[in-house]
Amino acid sequence: MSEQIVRPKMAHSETVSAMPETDEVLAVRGNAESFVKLYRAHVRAVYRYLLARLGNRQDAEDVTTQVFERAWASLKRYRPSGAFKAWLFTIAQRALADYYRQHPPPTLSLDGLTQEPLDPAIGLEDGALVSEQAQKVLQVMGTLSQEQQQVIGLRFLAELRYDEIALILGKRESAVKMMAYRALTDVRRRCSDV
Amino acid sequence: MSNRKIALNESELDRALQEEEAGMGAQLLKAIREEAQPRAKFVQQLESRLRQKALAQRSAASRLRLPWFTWAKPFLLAGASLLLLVALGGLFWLHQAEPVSAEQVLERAAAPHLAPNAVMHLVYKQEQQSRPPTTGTGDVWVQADARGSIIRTAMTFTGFNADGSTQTIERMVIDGQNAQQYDYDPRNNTVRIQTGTAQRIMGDNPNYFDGASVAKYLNQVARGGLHGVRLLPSQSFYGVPVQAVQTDSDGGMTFYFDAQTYVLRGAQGGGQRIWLAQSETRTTTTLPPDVFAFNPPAGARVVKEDTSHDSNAPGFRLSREQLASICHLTPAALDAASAADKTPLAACQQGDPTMTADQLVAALLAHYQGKLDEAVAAGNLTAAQASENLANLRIKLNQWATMPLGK
Repeated sequence: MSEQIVRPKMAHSETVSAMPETDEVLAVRGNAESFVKLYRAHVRAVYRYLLARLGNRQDAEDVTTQVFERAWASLKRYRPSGAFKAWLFTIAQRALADYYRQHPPPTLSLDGLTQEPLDPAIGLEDGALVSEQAQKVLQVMGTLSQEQQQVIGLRFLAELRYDEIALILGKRESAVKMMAYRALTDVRRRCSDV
Repeated sequence: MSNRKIALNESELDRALQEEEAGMGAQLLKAIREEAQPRAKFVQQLESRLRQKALAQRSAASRLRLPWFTWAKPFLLAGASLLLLVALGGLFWLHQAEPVSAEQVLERAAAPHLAPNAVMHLVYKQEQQSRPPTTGTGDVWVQADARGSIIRTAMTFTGFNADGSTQTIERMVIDGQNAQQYDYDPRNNTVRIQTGTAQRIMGDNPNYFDGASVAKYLNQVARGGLHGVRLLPSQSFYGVPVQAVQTDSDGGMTFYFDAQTYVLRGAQGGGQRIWLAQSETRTTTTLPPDVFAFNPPAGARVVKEDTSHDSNAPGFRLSREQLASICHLTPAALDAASAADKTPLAACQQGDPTMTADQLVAALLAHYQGKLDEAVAAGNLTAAQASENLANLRIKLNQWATMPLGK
């Protein structure tokens, strides 16, 4: 899927050597510090998206770890001429798919942020940290279809552009926008006070 | 969805979508994103893990490529042995004034001890080059038993803002194999508490204020080869002869071990500098009270406890309904107990006056034991891992049972 996103025009080595020395280029050459910089830039977005999809923090941490380990392991296949963030979220999508294969389908999704079953180690009032308004929106988002949640999560929690989301999901940009539009109007209608 | 919306053309759709997104409100989106932030400790630990993984991989690649490695190998191994000795020496604080040979260091490292019943107190200071610059102090206490073996360690790190106000307080108490840690945020009056085995809580990260921790960390790094870790020429640090060990990790830190005692004299790199400002040895009879007490700030709100269990272990989840059932209460009565800041044990005793903390914890663990058994049967955990997981959970639940539900 990464090749779909960023198809090289030259041989990979030529592409990389001809690039300005950005963190992406240096990371592809094996520079650990550059990869760490990319990690710092994107880890929060990846985690937020996975949390929204998985519904609990422990699983989100586990899959986030897998995403970045896989990213480092497959950096050689990344073409620095493309969008690193989109490439990273393609890996996140695959990691999610693997997770779902190994675990039962989630019963909680976006609304899991506020209605997660009680973990005694967390405390009964964990959800109180969410503002009431944000809580309500999250609850409503949790009732959207899986596909809509995917788009809304990538847009608002991962902060991706619609063209990037389209690349990740393998859909036309206009279709993704329409899906987002429908999801948002639905959320707004059901959160009339938002 | 109406047909009108489906029939929107591209520019109409863009405009309508922009309006909908604007309608969400920037502040609301910010609130949602902030709620979904990862734990700072998780982000740090994963960064450390990735960095080590990346460096190890790079090192392996270098070994494969460099033709001189074969003849250089004996020299590299000699260097590795020396580094290992320095690291092992740093594990234990030797009371030896004169320099020791490598053999002596190894011999003493194998039988670590302070003076019987001695307590060592070390105070470190820290400066961080940031904008604005910040400072901190590290207060470390280590206690030996009657045979001189280290039995307890307590470390408190206090970070200060540029204006001198307290930015954060972190404290860790290690007692045998178990450890407790809290991170206190004075600005929000919140505290995060972590309990479990020392190994779990420390993870792969060194505590820069604990020479043993740093030495263990360097030892682990050195095991993967000498790449990324170097022994520097003998030198002085704040006027004290030291053995200096430099690592590429953590932004390139150099650690300075006292050349005679192997006490960690300080560290610098990555924009920060740490140095030993004061040290003394006492006996247990002259200890200030609460030196080894785990005492999170009273009145602070407990926002979350870390759950650093095995990634393959099943998560422990307990719903209000399950807890209410165990305690013979209705969920509404449990909510009322929570609102009244009762402890889980006190809440349970409303429904079952004979319930003890041990019984409550046992009932909760029974719920989890089945999941662990399944994980072992499925090959996701070994029996030993399951046992350790259960022990960690028992520690957490014992603490939780007597903590106000509203905290």
